Amino acid sequence: MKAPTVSKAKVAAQSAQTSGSARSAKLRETTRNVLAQRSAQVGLLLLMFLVLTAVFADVIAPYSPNDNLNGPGEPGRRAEPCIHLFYELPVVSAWGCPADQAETWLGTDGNSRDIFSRVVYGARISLPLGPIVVGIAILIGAIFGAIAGFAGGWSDNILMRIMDIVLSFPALILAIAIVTLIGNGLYNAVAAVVIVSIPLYARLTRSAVLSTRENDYVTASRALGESSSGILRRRVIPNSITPLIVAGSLGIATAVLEVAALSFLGLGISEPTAEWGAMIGRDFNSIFTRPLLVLAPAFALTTMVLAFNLLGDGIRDALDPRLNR
Amino acid sequence: MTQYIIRRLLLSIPTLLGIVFIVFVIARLLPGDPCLSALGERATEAICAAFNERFGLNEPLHVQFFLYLGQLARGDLGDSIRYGRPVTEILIERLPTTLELATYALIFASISGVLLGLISALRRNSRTDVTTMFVAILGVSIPIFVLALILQFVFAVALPEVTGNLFGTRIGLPPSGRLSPGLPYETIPQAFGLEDVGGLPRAILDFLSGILTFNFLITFQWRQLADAVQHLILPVIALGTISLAIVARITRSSLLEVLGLDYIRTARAKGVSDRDVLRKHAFRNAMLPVVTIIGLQLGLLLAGAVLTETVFNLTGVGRTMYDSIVGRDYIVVQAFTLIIALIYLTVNLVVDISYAFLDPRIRLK
Amino acid sequence: MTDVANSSNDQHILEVKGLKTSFYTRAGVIRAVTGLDFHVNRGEVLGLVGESGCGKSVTSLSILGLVGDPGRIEAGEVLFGGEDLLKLSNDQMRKIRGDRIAMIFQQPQSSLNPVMKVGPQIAEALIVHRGLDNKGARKRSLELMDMVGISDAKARYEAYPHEMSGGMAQRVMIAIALSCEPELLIADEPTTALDVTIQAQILDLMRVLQQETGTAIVLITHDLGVVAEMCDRAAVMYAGEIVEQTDVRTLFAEPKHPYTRGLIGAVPVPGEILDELATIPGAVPNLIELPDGCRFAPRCAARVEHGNVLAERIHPELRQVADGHVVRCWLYHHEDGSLRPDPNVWPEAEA
Repeated sequence: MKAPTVSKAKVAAQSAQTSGSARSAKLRETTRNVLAQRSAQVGLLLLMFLVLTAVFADVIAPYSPNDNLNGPGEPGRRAEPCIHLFYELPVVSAWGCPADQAETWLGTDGNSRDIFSRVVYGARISLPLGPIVVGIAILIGAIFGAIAGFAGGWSDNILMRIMDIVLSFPALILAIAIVTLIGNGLYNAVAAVVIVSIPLYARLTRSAVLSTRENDYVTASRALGESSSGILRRRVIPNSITPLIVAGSLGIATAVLEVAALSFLGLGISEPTAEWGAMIGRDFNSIFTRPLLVLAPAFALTTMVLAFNLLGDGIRDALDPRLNR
Repeated sequence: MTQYIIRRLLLSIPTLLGIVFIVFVIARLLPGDPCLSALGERATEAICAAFNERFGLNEPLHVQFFLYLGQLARGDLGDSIRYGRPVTEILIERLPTTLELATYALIFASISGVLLGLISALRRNSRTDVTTMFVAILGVSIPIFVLALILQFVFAVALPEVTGNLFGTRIGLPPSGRLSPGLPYETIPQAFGLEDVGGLPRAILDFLSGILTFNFLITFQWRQLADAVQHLILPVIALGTISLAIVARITRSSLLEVLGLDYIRTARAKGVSDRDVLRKHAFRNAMLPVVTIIGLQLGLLLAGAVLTETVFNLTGVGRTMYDSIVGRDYIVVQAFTLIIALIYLTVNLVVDISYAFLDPRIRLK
Repeated sequence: MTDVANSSNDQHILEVKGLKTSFYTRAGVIRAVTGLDFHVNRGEVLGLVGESGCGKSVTSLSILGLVGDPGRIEAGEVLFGGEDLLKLSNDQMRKIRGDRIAMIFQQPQSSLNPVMKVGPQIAEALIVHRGLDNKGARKRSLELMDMVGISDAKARYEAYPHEMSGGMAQRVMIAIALSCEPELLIADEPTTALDVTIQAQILDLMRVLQQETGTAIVLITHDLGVVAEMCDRAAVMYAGEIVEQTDVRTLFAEPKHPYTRGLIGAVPVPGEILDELATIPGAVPNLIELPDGCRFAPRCAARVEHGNVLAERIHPELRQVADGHVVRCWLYHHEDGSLRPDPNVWPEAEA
């Protein structure tokens, strides 16, 4: 009895390996499909632009993000852009300034810091937040979902009930409440958004696990004596991954919006770090007097969310052939 | 049908209890001493002891929870620590602002979203379609507060500036608030001579008066109505745009999917005209997922209200909630979170039931 | 072939000439139907036979003008009572659909609107074409439901499609199709999705109703058993074209085309024990890159047997081999002689 079981398990393991190489071929094909989507191309282009900005921030930005252009310790002052070239041109003289003044493309904020440099450096902080939040949320969500789907019974009940309750709050409201609970700060804001994002991924994983479990080949490999963890690793997880990738790639934009909203409300990152949401939140009343101060980080933030959304759309269209035209 | 509604109602009870429990726990775990943050420098030890006594903060947590449940059962949401007033009063004062904003935003988003989605789907792959869908993806990508600020800048700063220079009159929309400052108006009890009414009826009347457009409409205060509408336009657009974009995208993809189904082919084969195929067969089926999505928007709108109210300086639930969190007024936080979750739960219930009306297949199971 | 068309034109309720329908997809142009010729006589049942993917359903949709994006009818004529349907405006075509030509489909349950009661779905065609009011349409619909064998019609009128079995739903579809007493009924695999016993019931119903009403039927099927049971004549399709057309008795007694022979050989005959079921090796060609020669050549045993190299290079024409019997195969070109290829170009053909 024992011997054939072992040999059959070996066969199962081998077939898992061959399906592994098939999987990497499938991955290549999927990547090609994603890159064939117009929206993915545009999104990727925008994202590359932002990534390059973040990587080469110290080359692109003329000043350090926290430099007081009036000199250290001097009182700060919001200022219009100061562009040497425009000094001679009568039409745009409002933004021109003599060569002995520090040149600022977008003016300075209330602490006389260069807005352009702050927006450029802001990419370093803001860009990784979305992928980090979604990455952690998928990891935790997948674990919860797998436990619920695999164990069933009371652990399933309790976990899914909790997820339901989390989902019955508007996400941002709950995130605000959580940040208040654990204190302000970038990490706490990220943690709060992670917590409100978990239920989606947990539910997806659970339903994928449940539907995979019903599949014949899982029943078969169980009958062949494959261990639970083996089934989980080799059969269930590969099958749950597509919906998670689709949801996750679309979820990045949502996560970015939520983190930015927390920052805007002053619950996220603290001064003096340059982060787009916080920059907008700190100075939003200046929209009437110094609109660039607000519009510059607003433009950067919107571009980033747009890039993630376009990319997410492309990935969804590539992986969900139902919607193909 | 009735059976379905009853079952659906019963199912929401455990969720409701869970929400109450979580809200209670979060509020009690808020860091910082409520007494200190409420009373500030006036807080001496003796005063704080009395304060804790009054708000039941000395009892063990589980006792506090049951006290809280009892309170809720009596319709008492507690007294605000900061304002020293019953939360219900604050709620009656501020909920209408948010409700008005969110409702108009939802109406705006649903109607224009469905229309845009329909046009897009019917002219699939045309320039109109591509443009609409790009605008829609831009719409879901622009943060509410960014859009709010841009709208403020364009319609309250740039447009008056430009029209002022060009035509000598400044045309634009008010940047913030609900009414122009100093504009006199009557509440519903004042207009109908019901100022002596008290108790619950009065609370309801005050609540309805708070919904300004409704108040002005039934009391014929046309100038005030026009003013209130002008003030609503920008916040409604700012709040509703994300939802509009989502609704438009879902409507488009849903209609395209339905138009490819067998029963649409059957209807065409029967000789039904294209207009009637769309109206009688495709539309209702395509609306099923759209209804669900519209229902889900309310959560987004209530959360977005915090941001919109902040930018447009409106004292609604969202703004109050934020102020109370910062001010550690946990009674208000607790009550408002509960109310928001309750509204959300109710709307989801309504969506599920209307779904059953639309789709006969749901009613059976 | 021309003489066939001329001699009996008024007898033909439907005549399809050179119909060509293609689908313009990202992957390439799918040539679903490429130059299709067949006719249906008044009051007869024509079987349109072939494997799935050979263009049967596209043909039916083309006749009704229901080929949607990205499909296009590129050439041909669909003469219905002498009138070319392809030349009609959308609105004129709409008036014919459901009234003079009706159609039933393969999946009865998904062919009915899930959020509409079935009764009003029957009544709809009557309201559109007969101008009946709701009450009159309801009365007539109930009669129709009786006629197609739906018991307790009044109660079923108020039922939703998901509350019905597949067979019941197909009866509803038949009621819809017959509501305006059409001259032609196109039935696209009407029994394929049903249980075997239900299949027989639906076929019986169709035969009885056909005899009562005299409606001509185009019965699209892959099942030769159904053809034998139901049809007067049959047209065999392969890869978007007709390869053989004749009356049913001749078709089974003297099938000419190797493909037809293969299909008939693939039908298990009760009582006869075979070592293995005769099947046709290979698959339908890729419709995006159709071969230049005979489309059946790669799978054709007769080609191998006769060493016919010609078949792989030149596309054969539809030729008359007997009265009312046409075949598209090189095997029958030799007797005729008219299309014998130039020996200088194709010396092998002489052998």
